[in-house]
Amino acid sequence: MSIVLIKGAYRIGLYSLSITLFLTIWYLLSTYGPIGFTLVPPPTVVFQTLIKLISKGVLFEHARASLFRVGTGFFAAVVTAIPLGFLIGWYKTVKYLSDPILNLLRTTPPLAFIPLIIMYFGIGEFAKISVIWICDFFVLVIVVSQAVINTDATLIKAARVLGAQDKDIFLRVVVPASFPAILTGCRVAVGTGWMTLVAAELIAAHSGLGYMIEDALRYFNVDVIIAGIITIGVIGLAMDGAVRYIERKLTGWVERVG
Amino acid sequence: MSEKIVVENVSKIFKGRAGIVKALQDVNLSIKEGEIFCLVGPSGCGKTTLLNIIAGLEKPTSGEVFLDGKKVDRPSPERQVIFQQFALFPWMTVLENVEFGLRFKKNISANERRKIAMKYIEFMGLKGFENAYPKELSGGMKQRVAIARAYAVDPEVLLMDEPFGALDPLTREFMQAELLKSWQEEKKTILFVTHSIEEAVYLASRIGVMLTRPGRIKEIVNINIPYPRDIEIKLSPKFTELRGYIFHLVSEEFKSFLSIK
Repeated sequence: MSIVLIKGAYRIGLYSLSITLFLTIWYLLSTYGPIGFTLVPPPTVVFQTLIKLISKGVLFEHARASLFRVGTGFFAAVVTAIPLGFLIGWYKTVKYLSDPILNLLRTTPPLAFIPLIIMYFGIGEFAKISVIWICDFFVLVIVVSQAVINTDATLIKAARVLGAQDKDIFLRVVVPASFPAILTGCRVAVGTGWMTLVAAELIAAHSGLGYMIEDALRYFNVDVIIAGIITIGVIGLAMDGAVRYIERKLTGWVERVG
Repeated sequence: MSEKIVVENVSKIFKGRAGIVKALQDVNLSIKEGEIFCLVGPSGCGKTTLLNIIAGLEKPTSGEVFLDGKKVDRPSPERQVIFQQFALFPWMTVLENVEFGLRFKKNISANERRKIAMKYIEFMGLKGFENAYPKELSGGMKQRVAIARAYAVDPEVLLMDEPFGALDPLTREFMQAELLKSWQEEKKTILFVTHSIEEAVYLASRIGVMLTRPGRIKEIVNINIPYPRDIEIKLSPKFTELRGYIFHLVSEEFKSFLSIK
């Protein structure tokens, strides 16, 4: 018990030290540093800006717009990519039919689709959601189909010997066996979706955290830019933590190292 | 006793990068109802391949396998396989694992399913662990769950593929005794594949000694030690003699192999 406590204190101590050091160096450089560094406001100013943006509700509005896009795009990808991934993993025909196209498109950064998307859908909500959908779709299709292929062959044999037919093996063995990998895929998709969204908003949007940063640049509000970057990071971290939490809750049966 | 499993002229040829490998050549074998038949031999002698063919998990290149006179061509609950790696479904509890095969049997209600599963969970000494997940169990317990799961579907034969190979030596001895005890109550025909000669002599009524290149049965040895067998018989002169005899059969191959080099 006491060892656990000491370990916890050790970890939290180092965490605090790391943050303190970072803020101190930032403060010193932005206040006393050479000219390039002093363009960046000190953390105290950024903190005040953050408070101001929160209290005026601006930050919340932009964050909500961004989260809505990421959420909808991710949801659309889950609904489309997971079934397709299962089909690709389960049926060789589907795999060979889709492999060439998927492999070509999945290595293309989703942002490369933006011009085409703008051409067809303008810069409305639908355009941004479809960028996220493209991004998350490829991540999930690959992860899900691979998870199906990686299903432990011995478990499939065991199920077959116990009398399971193909349908039972798919629903009762392959799907649950792929579940941990799918959740990991979701975690990756949420992360890359978030990164892609902010980039997309920098290019074409009237709201969202990416837009907020882009807009601040126009008036050279460096404090808002940095406040935006911090917010994006914090939200990204929070989303990752949430998915990880769900992952742990749902896959308690997985044997983990350490 | 009648013949339960008949293997007729079974050959299995693998074509791989190393060329053509004769995993099994013209294997003939008949296993009697209710006996424990062990296959022993060095790795690569095709004993697991033979077990998989009898299970219906692999197809022979030529030859046929019969269970109760019916040709075997696919897996079936009447031929249960116990794997070395336990093959428990990690997302299911012990109870759900043992119930799994019963789901696919007709006319069994959820209640009956549970009753049958609980009976074999208790039978294998797992009472109190029915809601545990496999990751919470030791290796020996995992394999007991797998055996309970196999018994639950009331199979004709148990095909055990080095089932205790992943266990520590003491647990292994204990599991051998457990298996004999359960066999005496359930009266199933068992085909048991192992590379441990000692394990084979302790369990088997007959032992098929296999050799490699090509994989074949060299000799079938009768083990004339009456059941029930106490674990202490491993120390008896008869046991030692039989073990020595089989060791001799296998080691001849090692010697010829070494003299080539």
